[in-house]
Amino acid sequence: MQKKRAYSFPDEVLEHVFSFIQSDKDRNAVSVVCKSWYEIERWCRRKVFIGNCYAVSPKMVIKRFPEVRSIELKGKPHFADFNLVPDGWGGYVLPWIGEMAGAYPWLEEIRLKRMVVTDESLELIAKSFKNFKVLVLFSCEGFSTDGLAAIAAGCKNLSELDLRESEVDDLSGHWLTHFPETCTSLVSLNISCLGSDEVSFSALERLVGRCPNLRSLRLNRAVSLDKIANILCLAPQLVDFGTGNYTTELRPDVLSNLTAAFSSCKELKSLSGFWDVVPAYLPALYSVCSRLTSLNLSYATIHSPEIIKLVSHCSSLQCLLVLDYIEDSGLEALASSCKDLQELRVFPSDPFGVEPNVSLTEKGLVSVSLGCPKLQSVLYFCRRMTNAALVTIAQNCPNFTHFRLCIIEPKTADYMTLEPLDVGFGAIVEHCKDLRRLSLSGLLTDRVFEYIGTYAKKLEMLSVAFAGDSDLGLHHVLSGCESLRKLEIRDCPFGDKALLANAAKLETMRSLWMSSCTVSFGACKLLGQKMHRLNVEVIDETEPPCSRPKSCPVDKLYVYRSISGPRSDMPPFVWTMDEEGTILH
Amino acid sequence: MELHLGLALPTNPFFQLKQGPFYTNVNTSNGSCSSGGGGGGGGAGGSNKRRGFDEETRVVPKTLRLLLWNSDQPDGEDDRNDLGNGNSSSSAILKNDGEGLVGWPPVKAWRKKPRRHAHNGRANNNRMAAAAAASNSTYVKVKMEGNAIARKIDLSVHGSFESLTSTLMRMFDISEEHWQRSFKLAYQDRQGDWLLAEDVPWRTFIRSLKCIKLIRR
Repeated sequence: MQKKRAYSFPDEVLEHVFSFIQSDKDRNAVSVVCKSWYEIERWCRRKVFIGNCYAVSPKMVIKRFPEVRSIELKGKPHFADFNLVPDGWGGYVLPWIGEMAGAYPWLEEIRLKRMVVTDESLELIAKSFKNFKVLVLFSCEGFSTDGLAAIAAGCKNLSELDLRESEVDDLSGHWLTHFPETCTSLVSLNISCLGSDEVSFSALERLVGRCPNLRSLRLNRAVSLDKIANILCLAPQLVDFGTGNYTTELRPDVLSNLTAAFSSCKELKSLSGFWDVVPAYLPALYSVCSRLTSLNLSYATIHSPEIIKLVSHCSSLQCLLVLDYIEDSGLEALASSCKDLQELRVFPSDPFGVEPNVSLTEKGLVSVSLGCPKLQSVLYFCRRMTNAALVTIAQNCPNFTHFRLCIIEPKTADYMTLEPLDVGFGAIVEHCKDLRRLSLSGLLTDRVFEYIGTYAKKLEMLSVAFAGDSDLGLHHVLSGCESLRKLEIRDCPFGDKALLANAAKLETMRSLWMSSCTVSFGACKLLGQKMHRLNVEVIDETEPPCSRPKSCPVDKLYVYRSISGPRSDMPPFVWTMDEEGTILH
Repeated sequence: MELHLGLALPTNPFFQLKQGPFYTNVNTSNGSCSSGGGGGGGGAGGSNKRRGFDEETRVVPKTLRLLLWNSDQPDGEDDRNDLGNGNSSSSAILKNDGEGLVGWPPVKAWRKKPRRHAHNGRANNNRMAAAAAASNSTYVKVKMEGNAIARKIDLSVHGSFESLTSTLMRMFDISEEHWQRSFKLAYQDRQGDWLLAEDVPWRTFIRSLKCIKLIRR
């Protein structure tokens, strides 16, 4: 029987309409309207984001989306940044590149986060994708400058090479010479993570000189200050610049050259780098400060007075990363100078020291919350806090989307009342209705989790350490936080009960990490057996969990939803529980 | 009143919460939690609180009860007994040889580590070899022929075959003479070949081994 299609459009028209729909969420919504929309949509999806590379297999992605041009993959769990995930755990990109090499010859962009990338993978990328343009390796590892040389030489249309925070086996700076003289397409180059002392500077200069569209350049520490002026003169169109080490012998001509070079950069909005800063050279920046929207001083070991001088010139600043040398006084100055501030990250200069080395307390954060009405995202390391301060901050900044507080000593109470900080964090989640990311610290009982489960309805990611009293805490979070996608927990007395009672919740989330908690091996087995769309991975580097009684707690547990079943590349120290209850390795 | 928390079938992410005095007597036995007086925390405590779930009862066709959460249990005290007190997490402290907590404070490794120096020439092609090369773990698997369970041993604490074999003897509960009579130490190297440990010097053994096996003579 002929279906009436009076209101339907030809496929090409629908495809054209869909091409205006870029967001993944919207695309996913479109694809479930009806079968024909699903088909049309899948053929014209160009960009895929896979938040967990083990949630789906490359073949499955390729089968559904045959014409992808851009892919983003994430590998290891977030706690890998803090050495909690043993080396060799996984997150290998080679299988993906291998499959895509055949299926996506027109692939243009690859963005990876926390994945193991090898030189072989890089060589395969350079060989397989004729129109390859963008490579972003965020916190990746496993490759060397040989692989980079292959990319430089092989990708004729490369526009973006961003190695931010990756660990690169830095064999030599000569890989830069592999960019052919015909390469003029670079728009963004970030090599700030490279260690090599010999960067082929002349190759770099020539490259910068012949790329008129270069907008973002982040150099590594090895590039000395006297060379910066030359680079800037070759690329005055830069919007984002990362210096190398900001030190050299004090010579008057260096300062004046530098000042002139910076002032010729009329588009410059973002600065970073600043290793080994010599304060005498900071005035070179003053001419660009008023235009700066982003400033990363988190490697700069300058103290509060110099930071204040710099920051007070930056009236347009939206994002500041800085060490705690800024102190409360600097944060007060920030609050009065930078009314457009949206994001603030304060890192510890001496994270392992027992005594505070700087005068940075809860007061600094309170002043910023008072003075900067647009503040949305905070990462703050400090050594003391009070509930009262947190309540004030919450009331001043109801627009927080990201709030990460790290009180350096675990289980630190409110230093004035000696109470837990439950009420303070409770105020944060109650007032900040759009809060998407939260990291807790300090002395916390199950009560804080009750608050979180009650109020934090938009919370997507929660990080917990040394907190809570019982399973009730975990239960509050799993049963109350409707938008929760990622939960990472370490050193909390959370065990089997809350986990098993909320097992179904885990399929609505990307992943759960629990280490040094009290989840038993038996519970992990049960979870793996009953929940077929979860991969339950137990990580133990000392001995197999089955060599101990089932009631013994596991060292580390990583649970994530997956439609491709248990992975086949697990190292000896990772065990997963499958449907039959057997332990796969 | 009992509170049943079932393991709902995966197709339905919500499960039915029966009313229960969920919030009573929470944490009163934990002396450190006094509820902060009249702080502007927004009164989330107390048993008057209702959550969104209570209003709309989402019905689950079947619940697979893996767990019954009975709120008659006083404050989940048996939880606390099983776990020890809140200080049970102190076992996590000093994990990395007394240097302090692993991964705390949560600053990224590259902020505190000095630059890694390039060690061997080309980074390995093979994915697994790359993983092995990248691996800092000094633990290797040890299997005894005839025994299904593998054990793991930390090689970094051993400097000689004598030290290694005496640990292995202890681990597998083999006496000295039984060892001399019946066992040989074999290992698999990075290329996948099985070799006898007695044929090579310690340094070669240590550098190329992937796992160990105790084979019977």
